[in-house]
Amino acid sequence: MAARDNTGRPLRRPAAPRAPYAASQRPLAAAAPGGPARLRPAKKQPDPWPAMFLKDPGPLSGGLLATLLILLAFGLVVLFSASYAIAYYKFGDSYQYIRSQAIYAVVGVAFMLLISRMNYRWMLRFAWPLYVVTLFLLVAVLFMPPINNVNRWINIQGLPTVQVSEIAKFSIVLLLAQLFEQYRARMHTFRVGILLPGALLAPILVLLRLEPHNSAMILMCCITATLMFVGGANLMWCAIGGGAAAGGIALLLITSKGYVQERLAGWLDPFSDVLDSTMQTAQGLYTIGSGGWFGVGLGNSTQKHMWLSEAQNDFIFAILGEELGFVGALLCIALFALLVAQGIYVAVNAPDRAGCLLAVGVMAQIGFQFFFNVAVVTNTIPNTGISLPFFSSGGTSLLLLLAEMGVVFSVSRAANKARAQRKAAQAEEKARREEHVFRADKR
Amino acid sequence: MTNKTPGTNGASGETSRSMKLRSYLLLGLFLLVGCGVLIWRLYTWQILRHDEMLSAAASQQMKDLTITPQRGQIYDATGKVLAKSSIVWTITADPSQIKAPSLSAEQLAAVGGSESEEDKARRRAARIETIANDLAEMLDMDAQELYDKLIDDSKQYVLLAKQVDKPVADEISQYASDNNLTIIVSQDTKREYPYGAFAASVLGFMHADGYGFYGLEQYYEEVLAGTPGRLVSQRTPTGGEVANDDRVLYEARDGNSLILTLNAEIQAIAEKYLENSVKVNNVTERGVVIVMDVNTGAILAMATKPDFDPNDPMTIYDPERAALLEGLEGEEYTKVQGEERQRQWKNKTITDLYTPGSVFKLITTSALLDSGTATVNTTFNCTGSYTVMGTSYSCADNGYGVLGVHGWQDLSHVLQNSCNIATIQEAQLMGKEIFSDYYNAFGFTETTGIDLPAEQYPYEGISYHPEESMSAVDLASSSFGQAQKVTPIQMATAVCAVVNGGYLVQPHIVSQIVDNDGNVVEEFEPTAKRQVISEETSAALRSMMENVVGAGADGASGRNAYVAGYRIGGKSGTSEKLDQGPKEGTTDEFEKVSSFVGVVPIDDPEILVLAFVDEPHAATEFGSMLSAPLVGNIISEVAPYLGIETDPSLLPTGDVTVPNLVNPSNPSYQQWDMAQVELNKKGFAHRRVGTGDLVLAQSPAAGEKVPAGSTVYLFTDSADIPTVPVPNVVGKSADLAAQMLSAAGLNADCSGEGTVTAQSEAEGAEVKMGTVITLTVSGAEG
Repeated sequence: MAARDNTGRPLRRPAAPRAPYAASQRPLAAAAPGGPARLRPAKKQPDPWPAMFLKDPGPLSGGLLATLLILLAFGLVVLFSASYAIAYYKFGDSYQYIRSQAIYAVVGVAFMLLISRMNYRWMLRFAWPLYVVTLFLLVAVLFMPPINNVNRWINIQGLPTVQVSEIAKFSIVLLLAQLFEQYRARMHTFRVGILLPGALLAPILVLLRLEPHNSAMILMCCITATLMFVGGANLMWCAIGGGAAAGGIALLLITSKGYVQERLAGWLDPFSDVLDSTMQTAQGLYTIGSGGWFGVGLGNSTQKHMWLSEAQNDFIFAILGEELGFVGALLCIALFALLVAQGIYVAVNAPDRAGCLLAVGVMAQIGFQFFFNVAVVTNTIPNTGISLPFFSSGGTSLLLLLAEMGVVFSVSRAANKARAQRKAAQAEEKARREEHVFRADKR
Repeated sequence: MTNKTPGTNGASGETSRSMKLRSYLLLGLFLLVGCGVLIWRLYTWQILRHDEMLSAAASQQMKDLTITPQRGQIYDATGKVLAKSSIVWTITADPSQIKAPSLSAEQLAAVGGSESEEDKARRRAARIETIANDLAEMLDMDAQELYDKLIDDSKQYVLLAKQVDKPVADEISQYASDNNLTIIVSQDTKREYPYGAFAASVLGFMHADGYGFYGLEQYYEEVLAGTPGRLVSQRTPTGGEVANDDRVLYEARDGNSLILTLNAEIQAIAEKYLENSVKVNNVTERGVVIVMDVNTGAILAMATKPDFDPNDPMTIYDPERAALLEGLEGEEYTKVQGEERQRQWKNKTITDLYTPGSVFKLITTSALLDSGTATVNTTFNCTGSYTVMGTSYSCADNGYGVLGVHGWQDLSHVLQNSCNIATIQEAQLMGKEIFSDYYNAFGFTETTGIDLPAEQYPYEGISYHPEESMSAVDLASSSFGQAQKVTPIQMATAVCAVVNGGYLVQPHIVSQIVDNDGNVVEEFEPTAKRQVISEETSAALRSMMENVVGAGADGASGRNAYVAGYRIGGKSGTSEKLDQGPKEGTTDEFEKVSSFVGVVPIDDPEILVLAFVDEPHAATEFGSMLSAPLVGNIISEVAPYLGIETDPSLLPTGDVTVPNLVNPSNPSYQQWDMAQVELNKKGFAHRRVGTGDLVLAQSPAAGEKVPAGSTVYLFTDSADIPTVPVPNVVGKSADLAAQMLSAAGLNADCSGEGTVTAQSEAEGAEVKMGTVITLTVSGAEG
């Protein structure tokens, strides 16, 4: 018992009130009805299984939807322009990329609207199963036939390929949203605030490393860190963790040799080896730099004629920059900024912590991917393969993104409903007060 | 904040104030820092470094294609194509882009998801083998050779084939696009010389890089080459063209064509006899022939033999010279090879200096007469030897045992005797000032300016002795052409001036430059640079030259150039190559240059034929014996071809006895060209049957009396005279009948004009070639 005391694991304490220092836990204990039952939270509250669909899901956030649809349309237009040349050269069909992307976009929006009507609290119930499935898929993918020598895709003949890391991102968001709400009272502790998410993230990182998929690892870390921060992790731990991560990355970069080193050298001087290792970066810079203020005009890119590799994918922003110029690039940035801002607005108005964290998590994913993608294209950070949400070619990725947006909309509906109810309540209150005053006046 | 957290957690899972703050904080960071950094970076690349990036992108995308213009043709005076360009295709490939075929998903699964580099290389090799086999079939090449070129994937450019014709090129283009291969088919031009080793040193040839390297090809490079066009467009990294509006095309302008004064027919005649002469006389330093229009300076033929085939100029064609390369290696081989190539390419008629010898006496005599120093009747005494400032001179024996003591001679006889001693006295009489004036005036101290490259520029001390420094010995030796070296074209031009009334004409070989549509772009008018001697002097010299030939009379030094019926003048020259030193193993025998210049008709000159062989090694090395027959034989074919009028008084009439041309006691006369000379002199036509050197049989037979002007057939391959069927000529006009019989290989004996009523041999009868068929002619022409 004493040994256990020393381990400082208050969860197993049979009688909290006995220990004086356990007083700090009191608010949590008080918060949980039924005292000792809190020891096993899952059983403690046999909450009623939430409904999958709510009868009244609340109204959609029109502004957010409008921003998303504009961004999506913009993305499709740019993708068509960026991809038709390469599609023609590779497949003899200029519509090869845009056709499937457009179909996925339409299906994805419908799917998104459907999900927006679903109860996200119902989804939270699947956080653990989804996490387990994700781990399973991440293992399974290692045994799939590789594409371009890496095992990132579930690659089954006859089915569209799915990048498992896309699923992993949502999986970790959902699970952390659920857990951070569940253990909200102890978020500031090392155990819940740092160790718990760290332990959940670690196997994913290891499996991603085996694929290998470094950029997904970075994104996973960023998303997790965001959720930890917003979820209420101790700032000191955040600072230490952040510092340690930064130091670790720096150390890794300085000491590593070969591939990473080459990438780094290429980053420092993108024109040092334009025919080989820095070719993509250099071509990307030629492309984006060719744009000038207003660009060469939509469809007029010359770099997309096989000069720039992955013009339809990771480097699509470069084509956007070439064709629409600095002004077009600013417009794109503004749309992403607006989308993220509206998403965060949804988050802060969410009726509960889980909703907030879900919205923050999805927005973190979109925001970081956007930032890293444009940062790579502008050689702000070393070249790593990160696609641009809603722009880059990739049907299943777009479908998953829209599904996640559906979750955000689900939260927003709930938020809107809550606000409407609050307003209605306030109005009622006001009306009652006014009636009271009226009566008083009368009297 | 941390303190607050528990407090604000509240009783429910409601979003805490802290979460909102932290969310807003992150949003703020994203908007300000994240987007801010991106905007700053975009501004850097898109605005600040825009120009730099744009030009880098543009320069890599620019495709700058040169469009090769069609090179102009070279035509002879009659419109025959001597050099033509045709469009051909060059096939190149990019082996680095030829990869192993990609595997289908099943195949990939079958090999366990990924395949090793070795497997990939093996599949690539298999693919290339197929490609190499297919291409080898199309190109008619060795598949292994193609395979070796294509297998090296470190190369981005290999040349597979050059000068491919259009159907094959089209087939390969189709094959490349069907199989998605980076095989590039590009247009090129090929230069062809349809007659091969013909007028080679005049035409020149093309450098492998596509420009004229020698001869007319070089001299008229700018005219022939045309202007290349350009196609500037945008390209993809693999070399394809991006289809957009940025294409700029500048059409190529094709080269203009040359029409020569040179006549292929005459050239062929000249080359035929020169080639034979060089061969039978063991000439080691090649021989030349120039046939020139004396009044315009137009070159009708210009031959140097042995020469080369301009279609393949790098091969050494003279077997003796090629033998020099045997056993050599490395640098030594390359050096000798280079020298031998230069040697065979050289147009000896304009690039080589030779010692003109006695032919130059024409110039000395012209100067003497024209300056008024002497008259045609002035006489000079030859005592057999003569000494100038301690240098003694003598006259050569003329090859017939006549010793070089000529006694008193007038100017004409000085030339007929080719008397050195008299000529020295002539020069001494006029003095070095007058001699030098005429020397210069005849153009020996300047280039002729003929439109061919590499004309030898005269050297002081070698080509001429300047008046100021000319010694008496120089003058004496120069007077008979032994102390100076000139180019054959200089000599020919000077002799033209001697006979054409005194005008030094500009020799030229191109008469017109025409464009693709046949429009004349430029025309060369014959120009006379100056009048060197008077008409009277010229007339006097012509008469003297005619005496030299002496209508073929025995004893006339130029008799071997005579062709009965034509008035022919000429002068021989045999010079010793003193500057080379004596021949090996002798003290006073020198290599010789045997030359002859003939003019026809000498009373109203039209053409000049200059011929010489450099270093002959035959029984006789006199120009009169080696080069005069050459000139005579050329005239015997060229004069009728050009329709030069005969003088009826010089044509034999009636029946003439056929000379014996198969006389084993006089082998040199058994040579077919010498046999022809005998026939030329006696007014017979000649036709050589076979390709041998010696006449083995003749028809009609020796001693037979045949009508004058009959054709004597010379058989050089076999002593058996073939038979030919007699055609039916009854009912034809006499002229037509004679032509028909001639075409059938027979002779005709008919007198008078009219219709043939009977022939001595029936139609279809087999008779010996050259048999004289007697025709009976009666009545008026029907």
